[in-house]
Amino acid sequence: MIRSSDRDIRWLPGFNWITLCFFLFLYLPLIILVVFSFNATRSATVWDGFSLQWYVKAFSNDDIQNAAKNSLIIAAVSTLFSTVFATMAAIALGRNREIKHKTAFGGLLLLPLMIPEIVTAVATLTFFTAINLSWGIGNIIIAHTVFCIPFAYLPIQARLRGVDASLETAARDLYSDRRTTLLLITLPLLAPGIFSGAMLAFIISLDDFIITMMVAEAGSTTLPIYIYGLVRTGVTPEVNAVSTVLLGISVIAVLVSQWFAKKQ
Amino acid sequence: MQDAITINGLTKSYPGTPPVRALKGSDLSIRDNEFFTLLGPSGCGKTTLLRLIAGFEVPTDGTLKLFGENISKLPPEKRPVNTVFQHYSLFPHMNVLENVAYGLLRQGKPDARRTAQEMLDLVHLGEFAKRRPSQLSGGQQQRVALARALAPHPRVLLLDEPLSALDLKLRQSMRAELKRLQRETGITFVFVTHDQEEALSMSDRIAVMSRGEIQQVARPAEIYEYPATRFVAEFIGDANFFEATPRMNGDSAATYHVSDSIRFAGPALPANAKGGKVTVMFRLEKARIAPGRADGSLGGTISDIEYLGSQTEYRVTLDDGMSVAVRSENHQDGTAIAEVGSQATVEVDPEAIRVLVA
Ligand SMILES: Nc1ncnc2c1ncn2[C@@H]1O[C@H](COP(=O)(O)OP(=O)(O)OP(=O)(O)O)[C@@H](O)[C@H]1O
Ligand SMILES: [Mg+2]
Repeated sequence: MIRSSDRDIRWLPGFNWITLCFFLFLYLPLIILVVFSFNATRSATVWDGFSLQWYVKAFSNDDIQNAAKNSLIIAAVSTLFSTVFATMAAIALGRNREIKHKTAFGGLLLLPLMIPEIVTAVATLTFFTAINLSWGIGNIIIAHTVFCIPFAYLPIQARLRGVDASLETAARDLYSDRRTTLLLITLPLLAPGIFSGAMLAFIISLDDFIITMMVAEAGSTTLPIYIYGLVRTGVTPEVNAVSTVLLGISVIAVLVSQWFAKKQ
Repeated sequence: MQDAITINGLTKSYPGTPPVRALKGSDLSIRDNEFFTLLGPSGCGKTTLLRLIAGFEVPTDGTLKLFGENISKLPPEKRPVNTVFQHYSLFPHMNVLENVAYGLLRQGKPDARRTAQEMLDLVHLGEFAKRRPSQLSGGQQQRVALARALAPHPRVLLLDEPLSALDLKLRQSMRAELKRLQRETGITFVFVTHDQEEALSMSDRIAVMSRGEIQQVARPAEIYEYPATRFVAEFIGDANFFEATPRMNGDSAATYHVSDSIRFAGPALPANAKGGKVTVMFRLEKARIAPGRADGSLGGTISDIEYLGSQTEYRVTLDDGMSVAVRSENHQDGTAIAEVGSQATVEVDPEAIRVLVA
């Protein structure tokens, strides 16, 4: 007789240890970071009681405020643009019968996901310099918009695949022109995908380091870059606090997008 | 009276290598207020023709007129034609009433919601107005789809195998329901099916299609009794077919020689016959079977018997190896007319013989 546990992957020798190590190395540092951001003293190894002082310090720091503001503006604007472009691309590639070479276009759209980010960063910087573009955080917004598009595109395209094209045909049949059909049928049905895509783009933009580092000019520091600068002079609980806030925003974004996807 | 739909040389090729010729230059007139059925096997181009009428496809060639007006170039939203889709295609993000009111609202009709509610009542779904389509059974969704397509009161309603996803009982009750709706609304119905029973029982007229061509357009009884081609005869009902050489007996009768021992007396050769061999056919229930043999008659050994309830189907192997099937009404007491292996005679009246030249 074959016991079900015989075929269970957990039965493999060492599997439990590997799993344990994985979770340990992934989550323990995060837990330590979060816990010590609430520490009462400067120590990053000894717990001295609960306090919010590092958060207060961080939030009253002008530089951090500025970096946070930049980060949020960049993330919000590039999320908006990249989601709009990604939605348009998904609908065009998924629905328009006249477009040829759809697979090739779809592939090109997703290719940036496979290009090493440092290469994109260097290329973008070179390009911006060559065309003499210096719009401050505008530069970063353009760069982020472009590389966020494939991330936003993935969930939108997946969702569109699940939307029966005959619904749009039915709408056309019932006296809706293309635009009305898009507004009343396609976009509402696509909403969960668009929302997930936007959340993904937001998080990707919010914590991007390499590209931002390359294209950022003086005065357009973002949070990740500011944190990096602080860390070079030693990890302080202040850094922990800011990192925890970033982590919190990401987690909330993911949870909201999952909840939204499930609700539909 | 003006025809609801007139098509002339309508052709549709889908791109491909080689291109798929889904519709090959069809001519057809569908009358106003008619329950018209497109019948044919899978892939014969029924949906293609329907989609051309609705405006979802652009014809490769030919013209399409709706009440005399050429609509070939109009987009679907400008055609006073609505469709009931095979898988209903109800809008999942709207409730039942919103679905039904959708077309009316787009047309800017006043009282859209009230009219929609009336349509729902007409299909006996009045109390389901607030539900989502996913909360309805297949049969109920089907009726919502009907109400949605009927609500804007189109001049022609197109139905693409609307009953195929329903179970047998529901399918049968929906047939009557569809007929009733057609009569009550006075809208021309163009109904697509590959189910001959559905076509025969519901239609005023039927167009039988095969491989992108319309084979015959006629009333159900005419299609059944006088099929125009062998394809129609084979697709609808069951029949025996023989290749035969005709010998005229005067102007109004002929004898059809199948072999030395098998010949059928029948009607005169049709005028469009080209000479040489023709196909003769008769329906299974038009022949009679009798036990025993008589000289000079058509007969052989019963090789198979299939009991069908009200009828029994006998397969008789004739002396020269050909076989013929006969369906006959059963005795009231349930006793068999003949046994497998016994000798039997098959009788066919000359009036039952049909001669097919195509
Ligand atoms: N979009 C398309 N592209 C290419 N070929 C198509 C397309 N739609 C249909 N065809 C082909 O055209 C022919 C007719 O198709 P159609 O859908 O009209 O058949 P049908 O009679 O409705 O069949 P069914 O009973 O299976 O629904 C088929 O050979 C089909 O493969
Ligand atoms: Mg079809």
